[in-house]
Amino acid sequence: MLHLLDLRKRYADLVALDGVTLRLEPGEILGLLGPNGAGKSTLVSLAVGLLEPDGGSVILVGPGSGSPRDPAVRRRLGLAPQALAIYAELTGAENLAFFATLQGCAPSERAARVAWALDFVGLSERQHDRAKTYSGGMARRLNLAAAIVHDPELLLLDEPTVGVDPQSRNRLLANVEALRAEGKTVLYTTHYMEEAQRICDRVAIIDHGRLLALDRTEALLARHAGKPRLIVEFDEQLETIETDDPLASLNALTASRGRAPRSFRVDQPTLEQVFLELTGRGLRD
Amino acid sequence: MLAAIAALLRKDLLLLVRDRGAVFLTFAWPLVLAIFFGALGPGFGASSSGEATAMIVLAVDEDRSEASEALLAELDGDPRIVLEPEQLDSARDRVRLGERPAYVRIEPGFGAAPHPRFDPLAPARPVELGVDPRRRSEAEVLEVALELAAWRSLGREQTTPTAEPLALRRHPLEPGAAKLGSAARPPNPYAVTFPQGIIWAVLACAATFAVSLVDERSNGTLLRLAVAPVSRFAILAGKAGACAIAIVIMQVVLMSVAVLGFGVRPHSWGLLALALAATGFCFVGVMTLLAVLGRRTRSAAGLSWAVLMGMAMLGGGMLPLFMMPSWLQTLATASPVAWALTAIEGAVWRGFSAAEMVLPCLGLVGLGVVCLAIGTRAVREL
Repeated sequence: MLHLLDLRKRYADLVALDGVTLRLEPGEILGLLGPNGAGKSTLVSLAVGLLEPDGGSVILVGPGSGSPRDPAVRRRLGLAPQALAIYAELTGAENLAFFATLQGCAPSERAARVAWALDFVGLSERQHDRAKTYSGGMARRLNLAAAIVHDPELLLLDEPTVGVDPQSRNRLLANVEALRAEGKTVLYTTHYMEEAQRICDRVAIIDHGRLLALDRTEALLARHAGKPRLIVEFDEQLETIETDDPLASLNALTASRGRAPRSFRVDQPTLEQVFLELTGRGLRD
Repeated sequence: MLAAIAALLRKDLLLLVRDRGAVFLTFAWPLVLAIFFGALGPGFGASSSGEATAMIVLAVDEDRSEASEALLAELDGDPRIVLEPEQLDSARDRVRLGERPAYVRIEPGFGAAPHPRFDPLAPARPVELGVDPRRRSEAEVLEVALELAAWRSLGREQTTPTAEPLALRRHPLEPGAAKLGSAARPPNPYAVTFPQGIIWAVLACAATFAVSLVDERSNGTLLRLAVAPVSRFAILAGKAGACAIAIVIMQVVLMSVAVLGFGVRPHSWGLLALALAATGFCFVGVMTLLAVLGRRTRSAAGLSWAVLMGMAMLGGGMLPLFMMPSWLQTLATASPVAWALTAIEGAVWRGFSAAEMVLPCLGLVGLGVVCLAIGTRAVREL
């Protein structure tokens, strides 16, 4: 769907992207993880045609393939920027009608597309209220709706859940999963490992402008995060065991001690550990 | 692309209408200014500060007597006045065209009339004063200076407590080559203040839209516009179109109030439409350029206000021109605000002919074209 080939971009002496190659397959959610300054925003800007790469190319494949700097190709993209990109003084419906028109939706289908997008994000009942009256979560949902109102094939979602309450976050994540079910391709940028782990089919880890890893989530976990950790508490003593079979290990440990533990838990490997393993630092450092 | 431009235009107008501060500044405030200063009548804003810089007044000496020369010499000696010799027709024309605030005419026989010093019962000797109604504050300073000069030229000797050295006779400005007949009226104060109100409305519209790109940037919506399949030109055209519509609406509202509510009767509706269109086009162009130049930072956008206010000041929209240094007065003729005022007043009460309207309108349209051209070239990167 989207091919980013050997992308390079510099800002004066700063190397923002250093030969990144990514291929998004149709219908997948690809998570893009990296700390601030890793090059994620530059990559997204190149992917939507806002910036011209110093080297490499960006191609949206499929019918009418080409560079996203071509307006006709750009119509196949939808972007939900991290900063809310909606007009506070316009109503939800007015915002979406405006962006649908801008994206080239035919007048005959515009109203239906707006109604669909509002319903999809659960804002139909508030569609005639100005966006400035929306809660943070509702504004985020409207931000997403503005990205999908023209029915794009490829969505670029930049931190779409930042700053929202858990309920709205769950709703947004469910929306993204529903979009995948409809066959949309999603490039999902986030700081939240648990989100990436929950919804992404594949994860790309980027740091200092370089792609450090790209694979299916389970494969990354297996390769870089180690085994699940069994943590058992006996009176005032904690015991930690890395094991592929926590239940068998717990049974063996209990038998060897000759008494039942006060408590135990199993920590599954996380993308945070993957990131730590690959970069030597935490994602939020 | 037209659908996108129309959507951008509609969106910007909606945002303008829903921004109460902008609505007040753009629509209500110019109306308040025009009505308020019009209600004050002739001479509003008068200032007789002795610190004022000299104003250039045209002197028509048709008498060429010792008395007339003495009077003009005393007047020229006033630090607030600089006299420039001129012929009567030319002086009247130059004041009518707004080049000079006033002229002083000393008619033949001035020197031969009975001298107030020796004949206290003799009538005051007449002096004709032609005044640009827009610049009455300067004219009032001139009247005071003229009377003072008359006393000085008489040797500072007051003959009787009631005697006056001069009888100032104000000569109304007449329509120029156009001479449109019965429709023409002497300008009432509102004929002077409403064109200025229109200028304020135009400046407010331009200033409001000039910061809209940086507003879009800080709101994050510029990013979404930038990735939409529309050209940068279309985005700019949408803003320019919205600004133009807002300006036209405001011009129509203000002129309607002036005509229906305050008895202003433009000399030529056709030339007025031309002047308003040229003014609107010019400031849409200026707005476009300022919007593009100030698109990246709030401080750069603040420059827009500074530039527009500078134009207003130079154009005489905020301060009587005679209070400025002479070099600034000269520079003022280069301000599009001055061109716009001249063109609108030319159609409303100065009685401009079509030929006289060409220069200010060409200046406005030319500046608009240049600004639009530079703005559209510079907006390739948002």
